[in-house]
Amino acid sequence: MRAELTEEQTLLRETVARLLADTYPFEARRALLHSPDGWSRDLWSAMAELGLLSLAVPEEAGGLNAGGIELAIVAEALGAALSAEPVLPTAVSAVRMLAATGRMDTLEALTSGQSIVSVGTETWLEVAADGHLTAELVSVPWANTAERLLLFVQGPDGTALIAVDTDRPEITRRAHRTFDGLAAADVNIQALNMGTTDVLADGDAARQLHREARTLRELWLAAEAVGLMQVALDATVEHLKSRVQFGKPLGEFQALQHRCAEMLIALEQARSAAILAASVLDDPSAERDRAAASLVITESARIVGQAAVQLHGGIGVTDEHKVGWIFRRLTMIGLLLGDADEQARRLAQLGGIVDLD
Amino acid sequence: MDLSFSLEDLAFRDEVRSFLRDQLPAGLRQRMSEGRVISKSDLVEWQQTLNARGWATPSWPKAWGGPGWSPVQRHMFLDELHSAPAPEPLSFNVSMLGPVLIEYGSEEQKQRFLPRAANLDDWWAQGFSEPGAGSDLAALRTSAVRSGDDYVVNGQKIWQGMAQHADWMFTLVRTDPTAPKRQMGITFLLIDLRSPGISIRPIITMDGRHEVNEVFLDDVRVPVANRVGLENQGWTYAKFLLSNERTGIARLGMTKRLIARARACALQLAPAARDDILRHLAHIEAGVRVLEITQLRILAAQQPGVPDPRSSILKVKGVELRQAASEILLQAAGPQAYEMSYEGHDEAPMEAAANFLTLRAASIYGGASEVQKTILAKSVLGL
Repeated sequence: MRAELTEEQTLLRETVARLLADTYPFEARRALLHSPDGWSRDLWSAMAELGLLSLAVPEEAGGLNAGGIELAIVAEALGAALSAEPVLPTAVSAVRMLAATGRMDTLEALTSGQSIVSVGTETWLEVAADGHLTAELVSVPWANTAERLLLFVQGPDGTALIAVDTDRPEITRRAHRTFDGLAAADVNIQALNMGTTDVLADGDAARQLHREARTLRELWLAAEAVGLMQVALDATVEHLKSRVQFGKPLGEFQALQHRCAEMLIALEQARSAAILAASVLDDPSAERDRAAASLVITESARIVGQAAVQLHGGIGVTDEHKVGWIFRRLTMIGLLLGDADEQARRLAQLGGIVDLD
Repeated sequence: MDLSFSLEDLAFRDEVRSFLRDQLPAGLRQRMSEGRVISKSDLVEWQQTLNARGWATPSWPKAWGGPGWSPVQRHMFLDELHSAPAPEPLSFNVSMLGPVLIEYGSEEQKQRFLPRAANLDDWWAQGFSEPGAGSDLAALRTSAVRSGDDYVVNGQKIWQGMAQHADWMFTLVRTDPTAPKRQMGITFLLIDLRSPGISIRPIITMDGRHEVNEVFLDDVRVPVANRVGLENQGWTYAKFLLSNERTGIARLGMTKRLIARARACALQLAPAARDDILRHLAHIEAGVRVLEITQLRILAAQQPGVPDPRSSILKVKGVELRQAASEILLQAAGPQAYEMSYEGHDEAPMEAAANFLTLRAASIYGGASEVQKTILAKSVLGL
């Protein structure tokens, strides 16, 4: 049993943190909101150069074959820096699916930073009896800049994972920003003939990839949330130490101290939840642990995010202060993971965790 | 980062499990899993069974009969006891008094008291709190005045758990009321509860049980030889004792037991009510599963002899989950749980209500949750 990271893991964490500290100050991050893409191509190239975009690629496909802990380290660091880049859909989910299905040329375009691929949705889209797909996908993260979309479909020919280019005439996109400031697009698909799409996998293989994508996303969002929560707590403690009211620092008021202690408890529980999710990443039988982890993450994100804004006072609700951005992203992660009640239902349906006698 | 147990630790856990399977009396186990009051004779007999195996004093050094376990093994042992469920070795003897005597007691005190404490030949009570000194322990007023080779002790102690069974009480008394700081005038005494001038009165708590007591001390003579360490240095020893009290306090095995009982009740209910209860339980189960990881993280980072203030997280969150589980058990059990075992009445069919009521105290004793939050804010966050 060892509480510390290995040397390689520590190096990875420092590498990512240094890159973000050098190239990604908060003001630069904030300016991205009004840029055409909504995220930084410069940072993306730098990540590609450092090999971060091939981190999740298996060894046999020429990647670094990151395990759960390594992925969590990167996600946490990106979360702490409020990264707006499409790392999850492109450099985690898509690269795994392309590697698993032997699409080496497309994979190479992704890991080198040339191309962006978005995972459309985790919902299985219904293909009509005539073999055509019509669908309206709302607020697909980073779909505004994606050259290709990966979609899970089911229909007369069974289930499949398909890839489609976003410049096809059947597809129209309306780009926008979501409330956490990140780039997204509504994607409208009109009568897309399945026979003209690139089928990456079908049947059980497609279902397997779907499960994996979901598991990866759950871990990634958990670890990203931990990074955000740590920054939220640090910023709050700093604020309480420096802000003077009634002739003393706010941090001397016990009501506020206790609120911070509650944030700390929630954060440490969230950190443990992310570690749990990371440690069972490759274990398909650990669905209950994943549900437990997501429940705690979404609950903690709410406690920490809301308290951080409250304890910052007026400045906390402004657009210019970091804490509002942290809060918005934490709220979004809570929505993406599903709220605590939803996770509790999932866990209960799996039979709960405690098993004595 | 590696929170998995070594093969050696897993083999150790198997050894503990098989010991418990063979040695834990079925009746005791049954009463424990139903959350019932355990008799003095059952507790003594069980501790003597553990002591015969060398396992009654997990945290003591080998020289004083400890098993020489690592922190991980100690954690595993407690966890197995809670899950069995079996009683822990009496904490007053083993977790509180023992380490203080080993660290600060005289050779004669060690020889005289430690083996008897380990075997529960002497039952110890904790004489710290007073009516005017609860969370603010340094406000204590029970006085001890030197008279020849004795101290003469006068005052009142309160909340002595199971003192009705006790032979001895380790006690904080004020020996220097004029000390510049309150903490500097306190002495740690070992008091024989059979001494003249002592009276013990029961306090019946809202669970209908007699667990805690008041102890009145009226001109009680205590030999100076029963003072631990130096006069007026008792606060140091008490702080040492309390830092030991706080470790391993998540008690997740107990919470799991409550969850398992609640699930068993829920499965008897109509589908809608059942699903509601199971969903509530899932919230708690997730917290328990994740707090296990937090516990392992703190354990893995533990430096010998250095208390980790983050263990306050285990106390606050552990109690919160245990209380919540007991509340759901009460809800799931329905009317069969409304009857309670008052002293002098029949034993009730189940103890869900008493367990729920008993646990209200868990966020008050051993450092109230509010005290723990202040520790976290100051020691971990630097506020």
